[in-house]
Amino acid sequence: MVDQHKNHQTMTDDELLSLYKLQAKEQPSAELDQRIIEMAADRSNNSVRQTVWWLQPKWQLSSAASIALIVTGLWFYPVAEQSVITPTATNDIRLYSEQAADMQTARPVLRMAAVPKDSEINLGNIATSQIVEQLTLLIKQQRWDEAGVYISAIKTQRPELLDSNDAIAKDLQLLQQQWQQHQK
Amino acid sequence: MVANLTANKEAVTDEVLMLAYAQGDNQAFSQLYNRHKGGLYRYFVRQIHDLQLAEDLYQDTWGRVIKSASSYQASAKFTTWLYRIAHNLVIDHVRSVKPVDNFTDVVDDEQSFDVNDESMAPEPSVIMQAKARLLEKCISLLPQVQKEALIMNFEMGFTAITISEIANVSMEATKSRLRYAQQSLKQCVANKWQEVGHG
Repeated sequence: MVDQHKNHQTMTDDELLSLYKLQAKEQPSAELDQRIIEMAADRSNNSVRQTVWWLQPKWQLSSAASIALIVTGLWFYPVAEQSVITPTATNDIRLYSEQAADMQTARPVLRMAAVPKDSEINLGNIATSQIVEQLTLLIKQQRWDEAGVYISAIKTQRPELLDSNDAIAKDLQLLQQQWQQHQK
Repeated sequence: MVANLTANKEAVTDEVLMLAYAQGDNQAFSQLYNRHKGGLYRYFVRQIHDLQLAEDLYQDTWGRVIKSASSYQASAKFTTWLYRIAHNLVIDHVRSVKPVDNFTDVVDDEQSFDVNDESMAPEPSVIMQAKARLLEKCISLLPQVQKEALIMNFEMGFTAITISEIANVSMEATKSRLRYAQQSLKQCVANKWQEVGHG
């Protein structure tokens, strides 16, 4: 029996929740489900391990750099047709190899060379929320070099995001501070 | 991969499924999707009353999940990550549509609306269904921030801590929003119930 005189303002939180759960349970259509599942399969099939080029193993980049230097060396100092590599050319190749090795040791980063320049990042059409999300991810994963480049790109291409007083600007400023603290 | 996991589906966490998908296991994604599609869908349609737009944002959310799969780390709870993406999309949309700050805690004025008077019958289930319809409309009147917090709490069962992580606000702010939302809804349902002659 329903108490018609019940004061509905005394509805408890649980009663409110029960009422909420009586609502119809909307679900995405089968077509929408299928579209999303296919999107996931496409990404997976195209390249499961496709990573941005600067995330590939460093040794591949350094080997490619060494080979490029050797080829360049041979181009400027061509080897005679019937001869095997002459001592001079060998010395040059060794020199270039040493230079390549020096590059690898003196610059602890081929890694620096592997990180993209901020001019290669286009933030023009990226939603603000996605920019914050991407930088948050880089900081969380301690990808400091990439984070630095990303911050530089924001300063260049979307400076207004850092200048205002709204929540997003504060988020970005906080992330920038975290990055700066790591640089010390 | 997931063949070994499907024997005990309940034991497989979202994080494990997401990592499996990142390694190329499409079945893992399907399982993850089916697990969360309903809640996420209702999260959008109950906040954005343009169905086409709600579905676009819903699809966009999954699109971003898919694109970010290779960089996903299990240190973040999957649902928090998923709804953070969804929340950011809702914010961007609401701000683009209504430049004036819609993210306030001020209660909007109630609007009058028609309610079918089906509840003269003493059947509690009919009465409850009628009230549920009133509640649905009352929820649509809530300020955006309260509506979102309420939906995440009622629909997904998220705690105030989780909601505050998703919405990037303090826990106190989240608790306040939930409290005001519930108070407003109780008042709204009571008022509308009286208006249709059942006070």
